[in-house]
Amino acid sequence: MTNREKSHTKNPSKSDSKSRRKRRLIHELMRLFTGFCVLLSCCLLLGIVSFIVIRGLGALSVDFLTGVMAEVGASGGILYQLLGTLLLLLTAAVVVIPLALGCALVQSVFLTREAHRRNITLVLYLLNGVPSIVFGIVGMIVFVQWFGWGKSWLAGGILLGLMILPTVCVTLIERIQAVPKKYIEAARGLGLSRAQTIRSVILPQSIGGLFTGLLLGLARAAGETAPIMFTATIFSGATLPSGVKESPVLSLPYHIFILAQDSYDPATKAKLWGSALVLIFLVFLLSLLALPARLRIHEEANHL
Amino acid sequence: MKTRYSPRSYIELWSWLFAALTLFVLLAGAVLLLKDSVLVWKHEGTEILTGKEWFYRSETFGAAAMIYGTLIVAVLALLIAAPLGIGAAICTVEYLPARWRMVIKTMIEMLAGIPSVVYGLLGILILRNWIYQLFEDFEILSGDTLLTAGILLGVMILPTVMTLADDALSGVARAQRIAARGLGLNATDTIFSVSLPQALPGLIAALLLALGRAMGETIAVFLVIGRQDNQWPGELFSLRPLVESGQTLSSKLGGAEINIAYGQPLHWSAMVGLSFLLLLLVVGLTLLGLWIREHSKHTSYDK
Amino acid sequence: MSQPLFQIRDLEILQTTGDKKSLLAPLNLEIQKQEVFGVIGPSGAGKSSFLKCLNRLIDLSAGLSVRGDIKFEGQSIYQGSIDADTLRVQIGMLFQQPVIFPKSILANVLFAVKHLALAPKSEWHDIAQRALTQAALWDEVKDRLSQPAQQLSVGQQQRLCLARTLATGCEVLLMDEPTSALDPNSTEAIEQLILELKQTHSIVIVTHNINQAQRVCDRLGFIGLRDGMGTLLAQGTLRELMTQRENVAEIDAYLRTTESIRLDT
Repeated sequence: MTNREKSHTKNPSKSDSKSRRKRRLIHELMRLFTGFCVLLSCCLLLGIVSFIVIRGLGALSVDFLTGVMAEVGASGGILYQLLGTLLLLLTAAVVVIPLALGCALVQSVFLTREAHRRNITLVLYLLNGVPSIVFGIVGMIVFVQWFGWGKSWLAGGILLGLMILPTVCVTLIERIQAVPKKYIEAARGLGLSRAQTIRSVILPQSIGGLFTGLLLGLARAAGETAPIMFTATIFSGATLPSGVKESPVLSLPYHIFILAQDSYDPATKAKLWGSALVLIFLVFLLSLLALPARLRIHEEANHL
Repeated sequence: MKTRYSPRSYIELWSWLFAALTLFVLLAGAVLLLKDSVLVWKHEGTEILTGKEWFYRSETFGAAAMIYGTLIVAVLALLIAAPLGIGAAICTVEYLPARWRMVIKTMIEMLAGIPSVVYGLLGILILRNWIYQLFEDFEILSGDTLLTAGILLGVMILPTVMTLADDALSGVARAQRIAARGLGLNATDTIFSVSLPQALPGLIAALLLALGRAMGETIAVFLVIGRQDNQWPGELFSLRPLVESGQTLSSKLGGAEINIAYGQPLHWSAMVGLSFLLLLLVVGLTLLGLWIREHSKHTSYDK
Repeated sequence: MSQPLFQIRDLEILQTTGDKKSLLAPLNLEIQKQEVFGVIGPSGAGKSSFLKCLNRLIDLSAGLSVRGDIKFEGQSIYQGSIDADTLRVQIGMLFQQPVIFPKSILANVLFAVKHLALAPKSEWHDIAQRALTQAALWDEVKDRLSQPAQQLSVGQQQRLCLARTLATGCEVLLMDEPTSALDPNSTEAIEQLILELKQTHSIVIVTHNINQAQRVCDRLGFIGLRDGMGTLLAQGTLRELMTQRENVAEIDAYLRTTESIRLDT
């Protein structure tokens, strides 16, 4: 064999080094551009959060958290808004847990055909894409028009629960699928029935996923306004509900939503930022609680 | 294992029950939307899509201006979020070390966690003033414009674009990149010749899903768009309407008109019809995005 | 003797995370031009990592750092200002699993040529034909160059990877257990190719198969685990390695676990 076979890089021609310089330049430009994108995204987050913290911190006090709103939001606190939001979240959690468990177990344990599993996943993804205002409208049709509940905390909780179902369910499914096959096979090999296997192996191993998903879902539900504005929440004049019919609650997001539209009075503005800060704090708290478990899952995935 | 679809335990019975309940509730929701909007379909026919005028007192229900607003605002948002989100995803997946990636991903997901009403608040108290000052020379009436809503939405869907783009890019097998690097391609050559082409379906899906999210977003848009009905642009491709107020499907639905409509069959069914249109738009985009992603999974080479 | 191809001085691989332990103890070695140098040893001893050091592909492994230096044709590749990407064009690499880009056969062969603009477009066809011929694949694929490369058998894919590397005009080939994923026939084909390419190329090959080492390698280095670190314990021809067997316990242990070999030479 002779040397004719490898001629084209032996003596790098001028055009060769020119192309190398060009590629080098593109490389540097790309790094610059994408780095800028990351920086800008992170700055946006830090900017927004610090902005709200700076504006809102002044309004924050124990009285603000434990006081009752007065003067159309210009003074007083947000006690019942906070309690109302917590009540909605609690209801949503109670609604979503059985549904998510059922859907996740059906999807990942009871269905054995891949096509059927994919269909459930598809439904979950679609549900996740449904605009929150559509939940509000459907809720109005069902609970206000049909059931005659008027505005009710229960309607809001159910709607929020349905809305976060995909988040909870998908997280749980991921966790169930991460349970090592050998455990399940071992349990079945020991003669445990499918139900016993679920109770003694699958659920204990994956129940963390339910809570992680629940926290993430609730973080999203806490800030939602659109599904509850026509069905569950009012701006003022409610405390804690005593029944179901005609028993609205106050809520933080709706409080902010209404005050934001009428935001010229400085005293109201200060309270408004304070409320936004509390809401963001609540949302971040919920998603931060879910973070360790998610990081662990990521690490496990990377170590495979 | 052969499956018999007869439940053999309480836990199984219970699971099927709740899964069926979920499905039933979803179907019922869609059916109700359709049923409650029958009146307006009969009343307007296709006019609801093409009609440029919406006057509920004279029972004229044309949603064209709202559909226009929805599309413009969502596309504006995408124009901002797409380069920024995909750029950031490229940086975290391709250039930065893995531990940085988790930090940035976490931060971006926090950005996604900020409630839309808080974005709306920022829009109303800050962004719309900036827009007003910036375009004062164009004699705009207020800072509540389609552009304001578009920018705000762009920031809001940025995490969606970035997270999904990140998933798409990190789904490209590492071995593929190493092989390209082994041939002497630098990191950027590898991005353009291996990562981006192979992640392309996932990236397109990311953009479609984000577009769907942008169209469905209500509260933030509601607060900064001005909610001006019947803003059909004189010239379809002029930029002027961008700095004027408008209305989107979702901002219409979020407004007080829904309370006026409640109890008046035709007007109510028109509002429900709007939400059905919105649902159709968003679900269509979501389906398309998911289909592209799934389809590419089956054809792409996984090694 | 002329200048060695690789002159490895105190090469050490360290973990940058965790307990910062050393994966590869300081290693000194010279690899000559136009020889097939084999690296053998038990798995987990760092043979592959060592190989990746030679074209700095190790840079892409997170959590590892390299100390010491390697001179490639007299030029330092770790301490100088050499461009690692350019280095990798000159030193091609073949992996354990064939990694095919999801494109046509032709696009795979010309991948580097195209994206690195190594040659004008008019020469591409000739380059592809030459590279595929060198990899003994031309006759099998010449009629279906535009078909997806995924349709090839694993053995053919590995030869396609070889052709893809040869198309860059590199003179040095690193091979990381190139036949461990292949069936006996494909393995034989690759071994045959190594013996042919030896005329024009220098080859460093990691192998777990001592019989393969005997068939294709001129000289061998044995990297074994000592004190939890990969350590170069012996080098020389296979025969010289065998004589070390009594002195170095690790080699003896390794040879016991592999199939018995017949030393005919």
